[in-house]
Amino acid sequence: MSVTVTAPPSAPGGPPASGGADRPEKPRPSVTGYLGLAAVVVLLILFFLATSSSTLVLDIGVGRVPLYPALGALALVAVLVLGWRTRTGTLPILGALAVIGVTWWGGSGIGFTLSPLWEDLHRAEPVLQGFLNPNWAFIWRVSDAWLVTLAMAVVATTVGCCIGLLLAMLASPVSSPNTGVSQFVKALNSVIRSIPDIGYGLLFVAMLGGTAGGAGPMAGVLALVMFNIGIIAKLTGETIDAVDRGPLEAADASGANLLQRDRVAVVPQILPGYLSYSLYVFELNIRASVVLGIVGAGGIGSIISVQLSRFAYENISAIMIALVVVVLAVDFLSLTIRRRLT
Amino acid sequence: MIRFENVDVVYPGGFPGLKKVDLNIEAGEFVVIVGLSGAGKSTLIRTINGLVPYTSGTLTVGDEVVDPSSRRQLRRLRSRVGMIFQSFNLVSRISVLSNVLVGRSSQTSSWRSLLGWYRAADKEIAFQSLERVGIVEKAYNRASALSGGQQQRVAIARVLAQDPEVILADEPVASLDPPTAHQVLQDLRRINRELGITTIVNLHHLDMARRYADRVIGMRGGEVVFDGPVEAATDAAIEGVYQRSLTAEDVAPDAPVSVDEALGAEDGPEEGPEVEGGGSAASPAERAGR
Amino acid sequence: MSHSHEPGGQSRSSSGADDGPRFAPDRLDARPVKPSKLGWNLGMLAFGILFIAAISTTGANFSRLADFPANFLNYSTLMVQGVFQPLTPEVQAAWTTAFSDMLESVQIAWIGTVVGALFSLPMGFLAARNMTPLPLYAVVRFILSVIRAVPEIVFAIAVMLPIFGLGPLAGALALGVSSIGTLSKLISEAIEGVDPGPLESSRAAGATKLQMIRWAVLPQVMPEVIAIWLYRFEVNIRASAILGVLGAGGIGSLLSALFNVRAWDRIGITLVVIIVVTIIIDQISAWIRHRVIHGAPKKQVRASVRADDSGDGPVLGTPPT
Repeated sequence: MSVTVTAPPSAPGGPPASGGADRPEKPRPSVTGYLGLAAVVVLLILFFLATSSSTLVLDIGVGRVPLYPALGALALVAVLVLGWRTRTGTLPILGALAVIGVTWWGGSGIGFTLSPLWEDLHRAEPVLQGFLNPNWAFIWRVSDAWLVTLAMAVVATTVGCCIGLLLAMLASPVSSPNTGVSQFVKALNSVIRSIPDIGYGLLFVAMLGGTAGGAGPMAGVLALVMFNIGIIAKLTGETIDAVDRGPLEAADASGANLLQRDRVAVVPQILPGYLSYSLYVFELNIRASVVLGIVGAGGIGSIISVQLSRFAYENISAIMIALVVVVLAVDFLSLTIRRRLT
Repeated sequence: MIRFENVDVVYPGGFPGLKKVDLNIEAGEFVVIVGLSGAGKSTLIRTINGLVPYTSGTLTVGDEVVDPSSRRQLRRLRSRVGMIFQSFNLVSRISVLSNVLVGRSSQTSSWRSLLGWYRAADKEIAFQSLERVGIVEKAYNRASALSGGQQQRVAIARVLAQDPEVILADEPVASLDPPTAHQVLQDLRRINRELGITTIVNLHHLDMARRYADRVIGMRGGEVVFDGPVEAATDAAIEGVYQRSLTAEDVAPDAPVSVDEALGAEDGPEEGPEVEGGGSAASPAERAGR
Repeated sequence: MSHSHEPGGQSRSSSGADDGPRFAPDRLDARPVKPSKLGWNLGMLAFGILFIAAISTTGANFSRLADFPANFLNYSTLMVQGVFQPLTPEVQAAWTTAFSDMLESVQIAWIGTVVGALFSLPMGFLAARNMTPLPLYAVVRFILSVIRAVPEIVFAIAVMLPIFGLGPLAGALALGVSSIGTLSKLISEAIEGVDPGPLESSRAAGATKLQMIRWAVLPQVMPEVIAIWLYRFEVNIRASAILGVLGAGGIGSLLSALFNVRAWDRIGITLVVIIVVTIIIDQISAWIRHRVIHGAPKKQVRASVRADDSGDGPVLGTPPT
């Protein structure tokens, strides 16, 4: 897209378009910077050549070059040239080169190819067949599991969001008693957030015993709680960092203690955002509980897991359709509530 | 009432906020501090309630020496010293009444604040404070739904709810249009007279300072360079503070004078008996006996 | 309470009501009626009932919770011991495996994000009300809602695993497809939030739709779009673990294998690797996002404390002593 909106070359009566000697030039990026970028490009091309596992080659007359590294190199050089032509600074170009490099690294690491799309499409046929013929009756047969899933989401959201709010308040320098506490809780929140929900699922199922041991929902709720704490603490923490400090100063000036200051000056400011995040987390929980069920944490996911092992795709299809409906309904509900909150 | 003895303030970056300030402010005075931006007006005001800790010298408020390192003592001090801000500093999402009740914090236990269950007596004080500034009918409105002048009056009510001995006002009218600014200053002045609350106000505009102050303090570069009754604050004296000749902006910042005078004329008969009568509120003597 | 005042005093304080008629002491005496909180209280009550009903519906066995602390302590000790055990060749291999599997998860997440990003920009424009005619907008919005409602694993099970086989590629593509939903929605919201001024002026200058997008919309939204992509990358790293449990490779496959045999020491090692790598990537990503949105860090002027006297910010200084 190189379209430009330009004025006509010279407006009648205006100054001649060519006499631009005194017009400011768009500053050129530093040449040394671009030489450095060129070096990065060369290194990346070498990296491409070294990690390429494809045997496809391209005959370009003078010789044969490996296809994929050649394409990668072309992209790198194109970015470099385009950057120079548009006089972009070195940093954005470095970013673009890095994106190409990392994408190559990821793509070659996981053996990226799209050829199965036209070679092996037929293999998806039986699965799609099942999915296209959902077993509607199955939806009602598993209504108990649905209720459990929803109940798990309600309990986990409530508990997780309460703890998450507490941790967010303790972590933000705005509302925290001192920097020591704030730093510690901040680190704790990062750790909690870094473990994926499935990790917590596996952990609590292993510790409590899963569906087989009758503790599936308990483990599922605990896993969701940890998952929710991580999200709420992060999102609410960002809101707290951004509150208007004026009311805090006013509360300080009227002799309020820390708890009172947080309650009267911080909480009212973050409440709408916090409630809206909590509803968002509730939506996430319904989806996440499906995943957790697969590792034995109860709810509808357990049913999916069983049906999956039986290759009963028509049953899974029915559950999925119901899932989409439930998620859309919750989505709509929370949107309505959020609208009323603000 | 408030005594600065050789008080220095040095900010963490090493920037001096106040230099060797010596001041003595008597109970019930209405003091206006003038000076250019960066002269240390805000610092001076914020030192009094410990929002800015002083680094050397002695600051006495009432009969207590302020100790910026003691949180407990600071809270006790701040419960006696109310503060009004340029940007009102109200919590915009909660009701006016809840905002005023923030002023009762120091007299309320933490758990009551936490649950929002204020005592009936505290609510009564909050209502009376709102009545005193004349916007009690807005008590259950959201603070954000009020105009700037109304918000600043809610902020004054919040301070009154503290039942303070001193009111500090940091550029209380800088965000308001001139007629509203005059009303807010009149409120402050009236409260100062009625309740005998020592009031210290930062003002940009010399005009307003001369009109409302008992005493004017001029600051420059963190030092007090002028201190005298309002009559002594002549143009020449203030030019000394500003170190430049006064401009039209300094003395006549406001809307057309006619509006100004109309307000004054309208308020005159109303205000007169109030000041003289003084029976509507606890007199300074009563307060002193506390 | 020393400044209680008799009713007579209030009528005089009417000097400055700048709304409504002046001199209306009666109205000032009348305190407003407290608004009813019935709706709020009913809502809270309903929520309380819902919460208790939910607890009983989960069928969670709370007696289990009694042994939980002991179990937790026990297993945590095993994991910590695993992390701090001497570095024999086997332990070293465990660390290396965990690390390389984590990197594979990162690769899956990255490719998934790139695939999602490529589709999300055009989809974002199609789902923005100020860019697209209503019928098309409604259709695209609905498709996006459905994509967002379906969990990643469904794409993996239904489409990707059969075609691409059990492996990281299937995982990456499943992540990519499911990323499209959220990414496009967030991007469309960013586009809807653009300043209409430049749009209007370019339309007034006779620009085509494409020109408008290139010169009036993209410059405004691109920083935000990049931030959204990076944020999704962080989310995808966690989501890739989910697909791993199904056998799509990466850290999820390793974790699920280790939990199957309850190898607590190696679980500990793996969790440490997950935490460290995730936090590092989050930090880098947060830094880039901040940089993209707020630009290069400005040089701090040392005398910035001077600003305090203008009253435009709290001075929460601490004593230097």
